[in-house]
Amino acid sequence: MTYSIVARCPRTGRFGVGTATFSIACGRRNESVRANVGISKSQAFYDRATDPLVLNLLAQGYTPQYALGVLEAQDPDFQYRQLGIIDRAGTIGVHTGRDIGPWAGHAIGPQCVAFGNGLAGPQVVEGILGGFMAEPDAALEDRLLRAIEGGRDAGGQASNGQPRPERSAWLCVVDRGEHPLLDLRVDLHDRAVSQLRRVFEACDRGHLRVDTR
Amino acid sequence: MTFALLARCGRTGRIGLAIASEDLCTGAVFAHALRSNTGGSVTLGGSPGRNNTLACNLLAQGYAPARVLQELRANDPQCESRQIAVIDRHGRVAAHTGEALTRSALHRIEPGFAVLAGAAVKPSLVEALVQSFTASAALELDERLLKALESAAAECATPPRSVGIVAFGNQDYSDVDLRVDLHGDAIRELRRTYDEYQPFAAYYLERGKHPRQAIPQREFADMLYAGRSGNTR
Repeated sequence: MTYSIVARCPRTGRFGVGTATFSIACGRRNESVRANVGISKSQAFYDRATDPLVLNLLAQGYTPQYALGVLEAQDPDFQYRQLGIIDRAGTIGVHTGRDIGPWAGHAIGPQCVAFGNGLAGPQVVEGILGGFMAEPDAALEDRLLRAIEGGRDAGGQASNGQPRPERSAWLCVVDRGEHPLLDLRVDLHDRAVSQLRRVFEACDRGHLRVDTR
Repeated sequence: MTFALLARCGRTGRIGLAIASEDLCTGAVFAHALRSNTGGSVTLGGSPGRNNTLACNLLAQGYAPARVLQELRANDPQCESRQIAVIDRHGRVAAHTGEALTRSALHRIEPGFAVLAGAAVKPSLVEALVQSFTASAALELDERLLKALESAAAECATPPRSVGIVAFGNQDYSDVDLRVDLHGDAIRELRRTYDEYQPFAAYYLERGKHPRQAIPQREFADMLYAGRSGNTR
């Protein structure tokens, strides 16, 4: 059970990912983000080798849709995987395998996709998009955090009708340099999304401000 | 106050890095810091991330750590305000403490590892790190890094608010990467996270390799916590 958003900022071209999950230390997956290439964020029954492969394909010039086709052709367990991809043109690729279990799905918005599994229902991915689109002119990192909070507030994770806590959360934004501009993590906390907001408000974000480009 | 330990495990060849700071989110330096079968680096002071990829690229093309360090310094007008450590796949180490830093900033080079200690870090803390890491060679690298941090905790003038450990084995992604970005007792919180994470780490790996046989994480967690007292979710 996990919910995520991957997005590209239409003003700056920056990429970002936001994630919240029951799993511990979701932010350790920093192989999912590559500057000037895109983001591939796999989850559900994920294999760590998936995101580097997808990003290598994007870097060669392949589209997200083509990369999904490569995965499907070589992975007998493709229907257990979920992943969202965005490339430097803002093109989305997304896959929610049919064997992941309820509720799993995704919702595509402008240069973004919200996707999750083990959720209370489709209102969660809609809540993520709603949070992301609430202030479309805000900075990408603010929008991503609002998105994750929107997912939580729409019911977040659930199994067998019971809500499940988010124990870890991650917010990462990358610009043209390889090192992330922002990389905030909560690895194990009873209310990880609230704690991520707390870290976000406490940390210095002055370097994220954008001049006119 | 920031300190870091960069190391290679002599038994397994794994590369690892531990860092602690009174600043927030110090583990953000982990991105691109280490590369499997190559080595890694850590830079303290300013915006150090840009050195990470360059150092790994230079190590990958065959430069020794001492030469990599020269290149990082030559490439960086602010290098005298920074501390840098570099390690390669053989465990060779080079380190630099900029002349503009206070006299209390220092580094230590030991067989297979290096320690960077910024301003206001006590020499006794560096000694504790070195002693702990040297004495724990039989353990796994991630456990050694954590134990070294714990040994340093008593020597901290103020408790670190953020810490992290990261290790790379033979994959092109980390095999351990845990952080605490904001906590009043961050080293203790990292230990709690590490101990909770250990059984799940194997589960996450197995679930990805064999999804058809995997049980849901919630069931796995329930089984795990059922055997414990006072920690049921």
